[in-house]
Amino acid sequence: MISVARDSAVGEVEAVYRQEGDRMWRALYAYTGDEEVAADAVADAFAQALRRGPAIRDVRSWVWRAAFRIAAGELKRRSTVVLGAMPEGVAYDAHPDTQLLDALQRLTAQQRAVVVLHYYLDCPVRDIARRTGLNPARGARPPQPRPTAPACLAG
Amino acid sequence: MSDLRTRFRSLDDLRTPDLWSEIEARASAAQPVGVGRLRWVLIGALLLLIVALAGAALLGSGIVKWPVSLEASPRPSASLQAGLEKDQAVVIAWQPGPPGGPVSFEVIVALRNSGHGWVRVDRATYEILNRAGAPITGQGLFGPADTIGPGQTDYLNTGVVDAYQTKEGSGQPISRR
Repeated sequence: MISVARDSAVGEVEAVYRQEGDRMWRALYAYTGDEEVAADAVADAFAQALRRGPAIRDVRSWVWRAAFRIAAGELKRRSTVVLGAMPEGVAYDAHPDTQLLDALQRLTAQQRAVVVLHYYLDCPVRDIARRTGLNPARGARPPQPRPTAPACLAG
Repeated sequence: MSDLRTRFRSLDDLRTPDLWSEIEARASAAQPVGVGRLRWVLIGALLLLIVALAGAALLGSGIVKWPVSLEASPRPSASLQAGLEKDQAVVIAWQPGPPGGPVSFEVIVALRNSGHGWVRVDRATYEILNRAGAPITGQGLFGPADTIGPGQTDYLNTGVVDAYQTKEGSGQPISRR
């Protein structure tokens, strides 16, 4: 019985990854400015979801929240070098809009998270805190969100 | 703002890595404790609990008792003399050989601890003197213990063979140096 539930949970996690993984990586890339940090956060969040199995009720929301927290933790660890900004020497060769990423770099980590979630993933501001554990009130507050909830953080 | 959203949409042009194999590898690297193993852990914990309860029940019923440990008195007094009383020496003299030959003495001294603490008996601080106060060569002082408890009596004894002081052999007191 437990094995069946676990297999089902694994299938659900993989389904969420196939559906959300790419967007999650891109959002985290915009948030961190680092491909490796983004990939590491995504992989770690989904791996933790796999380990927890049926204990997670809403896999989609859980992995989004976990991934951003993992990435935030990594940025915080790196912030011993540059506080509140992305690490120096980050290359944006992967993304052509260097102007946009440069502008993001001038924001704090929390502001970047809010901007990325809102403008890239269309997340309402009120959902950003609930879904990611970040507090938009302490960061940049973008214009009021669209009334419809985005799929990225629905759950 | 719509322009900003459009610019963020350009992120969708980025190629993304397929991380699923990495995810599975990380997940399997730290699997939680299996149900079978957890079961044995619980059984072990239950057995330990039963043993502890049984031990407590036996001790409580008095069937099994803890080893009695005597409460030690304060550490032995640093001084030999503290609370120590010396009785009159008992000297036993005999002449194993012909008259005029060497005389053997056996000197026994009782040491009674009249104090409340333990006292250490340092035999090196004792020697036997003759009436003139000269030390008599002995064979050492012997006693059954190095320390004497409160209210207890210990005995020092020594054997002496004296070829020249036969008349002084009897009744010689033992004196402290």
